[in-house]
Amino acid sequence: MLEIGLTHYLLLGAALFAIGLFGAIGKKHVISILLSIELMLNAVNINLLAFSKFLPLSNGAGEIFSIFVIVIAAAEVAIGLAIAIALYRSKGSLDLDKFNLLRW
Amino acid sequence: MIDYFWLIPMPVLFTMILTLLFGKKLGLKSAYLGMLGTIASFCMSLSVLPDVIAGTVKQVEFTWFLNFKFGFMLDPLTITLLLLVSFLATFILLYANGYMHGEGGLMRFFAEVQLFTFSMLGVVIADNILQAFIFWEIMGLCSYLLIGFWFHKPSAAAAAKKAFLTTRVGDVFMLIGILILYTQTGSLQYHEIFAAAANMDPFWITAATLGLFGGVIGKSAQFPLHVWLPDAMEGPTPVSALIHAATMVKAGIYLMARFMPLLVLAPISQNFMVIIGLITALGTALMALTATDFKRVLAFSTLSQLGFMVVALGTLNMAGAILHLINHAFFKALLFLGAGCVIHVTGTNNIWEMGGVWKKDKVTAITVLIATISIAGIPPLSGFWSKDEILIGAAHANPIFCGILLLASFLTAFYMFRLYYVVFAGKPRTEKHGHACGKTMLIPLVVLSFFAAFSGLFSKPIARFITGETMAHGSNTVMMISIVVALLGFLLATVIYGWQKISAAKIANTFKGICTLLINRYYIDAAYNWFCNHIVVGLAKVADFFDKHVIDGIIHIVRDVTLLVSKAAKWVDIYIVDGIIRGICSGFVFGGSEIRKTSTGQLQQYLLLIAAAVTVMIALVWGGLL
Repeated sequence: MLEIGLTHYLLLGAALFAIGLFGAIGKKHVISILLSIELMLNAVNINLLAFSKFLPLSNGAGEIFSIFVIVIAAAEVAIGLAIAIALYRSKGSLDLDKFNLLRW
Repeated sequence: MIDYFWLIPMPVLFTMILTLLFGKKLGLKSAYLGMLGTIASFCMSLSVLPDVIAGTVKQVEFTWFLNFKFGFMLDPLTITLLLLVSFLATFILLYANGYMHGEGGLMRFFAEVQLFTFSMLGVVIADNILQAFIFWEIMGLCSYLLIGFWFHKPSAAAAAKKAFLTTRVGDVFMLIGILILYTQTGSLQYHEIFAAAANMDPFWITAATLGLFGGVIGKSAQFPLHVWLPDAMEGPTPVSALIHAATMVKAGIYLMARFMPLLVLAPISQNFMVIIGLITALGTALMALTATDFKRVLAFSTLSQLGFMVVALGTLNMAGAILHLINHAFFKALLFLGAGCVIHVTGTNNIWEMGGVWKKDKVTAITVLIATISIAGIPPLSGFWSKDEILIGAAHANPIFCGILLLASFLTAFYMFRLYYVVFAGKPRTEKHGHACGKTMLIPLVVLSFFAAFSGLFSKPIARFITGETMAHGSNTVMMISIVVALLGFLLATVIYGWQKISAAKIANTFKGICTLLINRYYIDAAYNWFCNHIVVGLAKVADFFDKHVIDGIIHIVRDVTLLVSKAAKWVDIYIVDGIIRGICSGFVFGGSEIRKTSTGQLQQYLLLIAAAVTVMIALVWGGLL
């Protein structure tokens, strides 16, 4: 019976991160991009927890860090959604291709 | 007191400053203020006199800059002049109090008179030639200011200018003399110069003494720079008295007497001085014969007497020169002050408009008579003694000198008595009237007449005091001849102008040519005028042309070349230096604008680039390349 080890968790995290990255780069909708960013953050959480579990002397630092990440993610989403609403109000759309406000 | 002798001129300076401050309010009373100063100087001089007689020679020196010093000295010659000048200035100021009544600009007048006196004291007390020269020049300035006191009168302004410029010609020579002395002896202190004189090249001694004598010719109005003195009559009468008796012209005689130790070593200078003195003594005495202005006659007589003094100096007869200086100071001050009174009484300067003043103003008439006898050289009044001394000295050197001087002194007696008869005797010739003289004008006359009469009696002690040696016993022949000559002059004047036995007009007609020559003052003034108007102005025009066309031309060329060069520099600056900087700048601007285009504002594009870059880095790390 194959035991689930550190590598599996890391692979899961990497896969999840890759999916999130792909989404962040490829999706055109602002909400989708925010979702993708959440995916990437959660991939990181998986990594943290996996290391916390498998490495000795971690003393629960990974868990605490992942809780921090969740808090920051919540804050980020709150701000991100607010920005999305503001963008929608000003442009009537959430298609990223239509925004080039940060251009030089 | 003797240690502070150098303060002697200071009271006069002090009261001069006070006059400047309060003169406007004091008006005529400034004269008393000025007298306070001169009396203080006189008393201070008097207080050190016993020490000087006892043989003290004092000197105080301060370093001025480098090895130039300013200092003061006290010796018999100095103290004599100090006493004389402060004494005369006192009475001239007193006289001016009366004379200047009703004039404007009194503050200016009294301040200038005091400055004049102060600078004369400064010349006398200086212990080096540079300091003396500085005061000498201040004196020149004062003479300019005072002769031109009535500057709104064109003739006074011209006379002031003439006096200033003429003496300046002499001063240039004097400065040259001073510079020669400095280069040859390395010092300007009298005693150092005299100490070094023994080792000096005789040529330079001659040159230096001639240069100094040039200054004396200007200041003491010797031929050929005598022209300013007759015109100096344009100033107020007290000023004339001051210039003729106490200051200015006496400074020249003093200076030459001071340089006697040097003059002894320069026979050529001595001869030159004698010749100049003789020309002046005789030539100006002749001019006095035809003069019709009271003060002008006196001016010519001053010139003539100064000629006597210069001859005395040239014959190394210092005692004679200084004695005559003293006596002349008394009787000439008296004559001028008397002249002022006469002009006051008659209201005119022209002697032919005067006459009969004897009856109008007894005090003036008597005092002026004393002065006239004195200057004519009739014993026992003072002029005789000093003139005799000069004549003996001249006879010692060369009988011809003595002869010429005797002729001059004959003329002196003649023109002085002519003046006296015309002015004081007979009846008034015109209806002109002046007003009587006040007490302040008459007191100086009386005091001075006392000195003019008796100062000659002290010739021997004064001469011994100044020169330190007993006067050589004069020859009786010279004395007798001089008395006879003076009496002859007196007699001739009496015959012509007193009794009018011989018509003066007839004589004038007979010698018409000579008279015209004398009236026109030998055309020397005219010659100077011509010289100035044609030669000097011509030279100035040439210089002006040179300046405008040559010097300005060079400057214009320089200007054009400079402009051209600067234009080229400007081109280089704009197109090459600026061009390089602009090129670099625009390179950066272009590069920036190109790189800017990568910042598209598309966040996903940025993210993609970041991801790609991270991937590449990971790949590189993995491959062990980084």
